[in-house]
Amino acid sequence: MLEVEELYRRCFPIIRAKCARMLGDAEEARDIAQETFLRLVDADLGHFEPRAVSAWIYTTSTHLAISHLRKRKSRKERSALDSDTLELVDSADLTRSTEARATLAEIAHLAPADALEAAILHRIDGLTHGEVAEIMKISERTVRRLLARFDAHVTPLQAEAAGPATHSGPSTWALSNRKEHD
Amino acid sequence: MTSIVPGPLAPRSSGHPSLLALDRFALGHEDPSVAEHLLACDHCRAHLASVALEATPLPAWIRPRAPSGFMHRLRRTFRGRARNLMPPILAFGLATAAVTFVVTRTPLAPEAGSGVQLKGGAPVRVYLKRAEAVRAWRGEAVRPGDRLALAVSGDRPAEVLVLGAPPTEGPWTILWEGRVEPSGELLLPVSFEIDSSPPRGGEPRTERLAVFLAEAPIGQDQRTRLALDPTRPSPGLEKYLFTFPKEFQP
Repeated sequence: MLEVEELYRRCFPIIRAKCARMLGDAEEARDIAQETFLRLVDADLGHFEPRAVSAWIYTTSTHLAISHLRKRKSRKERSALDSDTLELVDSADLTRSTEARATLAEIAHLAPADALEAAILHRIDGLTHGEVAEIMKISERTVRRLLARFDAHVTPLQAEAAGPATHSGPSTWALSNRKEHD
Repeated sequence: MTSIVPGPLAPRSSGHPSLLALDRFALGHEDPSVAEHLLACDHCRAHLASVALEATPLPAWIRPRAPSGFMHRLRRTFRGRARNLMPPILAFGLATAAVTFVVTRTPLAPEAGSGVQLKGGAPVRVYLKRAEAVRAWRGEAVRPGDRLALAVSGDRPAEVLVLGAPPTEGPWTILWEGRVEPSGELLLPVSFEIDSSPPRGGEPRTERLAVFLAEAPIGQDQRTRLALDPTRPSPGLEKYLFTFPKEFQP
């Protein structure tokens, strides 16, 4: 493995970006990124191999983020945080990411950890089913099953949040893997 | 609460590499399809630039928790390499006597994400000579009169291009270029002396070097593009950017 300085130069920007995608709050993202990097330094991954190191980073940072989300004390606290984040973003992409993070925060206490992990990797990081399967060391079929399980946990929240009078249309709540930019 | 949707980049089905594929590329994993895609996609290049090499010194939050397991491996590695490190250190004196470029620039503001490594392979290491002592540079501040030397590690011939940052806006300066045939670690036959020019106004005190490695000679067009913007993605090149904090009082 590389020395700490070289490891930091190469890997920390990637870890930082990954954590920022998962957690809307900059301070929380920074804390999780630092914890991930310290664990990487401590991990015995042998020779620096980009595929193995990136897989390790995606797995560990996602696990730490899920754990962190579940520790958030209350729904009120989570909602306040997400509202603050929403006020800071303007672009459509960032807004969609923030919406994704808001949903993630809400669902973190309800959905199984492996389903959450699959949803983060596929729907926030944009990994293919094959890549999610590689990162999680499971089959693609299991990935699809986990995503379906995740959706099943989200559906009641969708109905609750939409309500009969405030429903804003099916597209607002569709957990689709939409294609984005050009 | 609304919906979980893909992040800033969509998965491969949209025609773009996934973030994992781009991150792997940034870490040095060779993927011709990603490289080809990057040539034509500003969006993916923007992501790659956002995860460029961290050029700042190791932050303080790492040092207090330097893991014992890793440090043990590091010490073990150093003992194993001690013999290999001696030739570069001894050769430093010869190198500094051969060609010396005095860095006569005023410091510049540091860039955010100042580099991208686009291909794995031989790393570049900086050695710092202060007075008579020579040691590997580990992010510490440099002082006027210090000399910096570059060493390339690898087991194959490589074309090397070294650029220095300009004093103000403008193209970088080609400080050295040539072909090396390292066997292990090879010190380049040049060194760079840190000058004593004071910083301007509130500008941070830094010096910057960019080192590019390639298997084939780097063409004039590519050298020009790199001099204009060393941080841009350059498929086929290994890229290393170094930012040296500069201090005037020991």
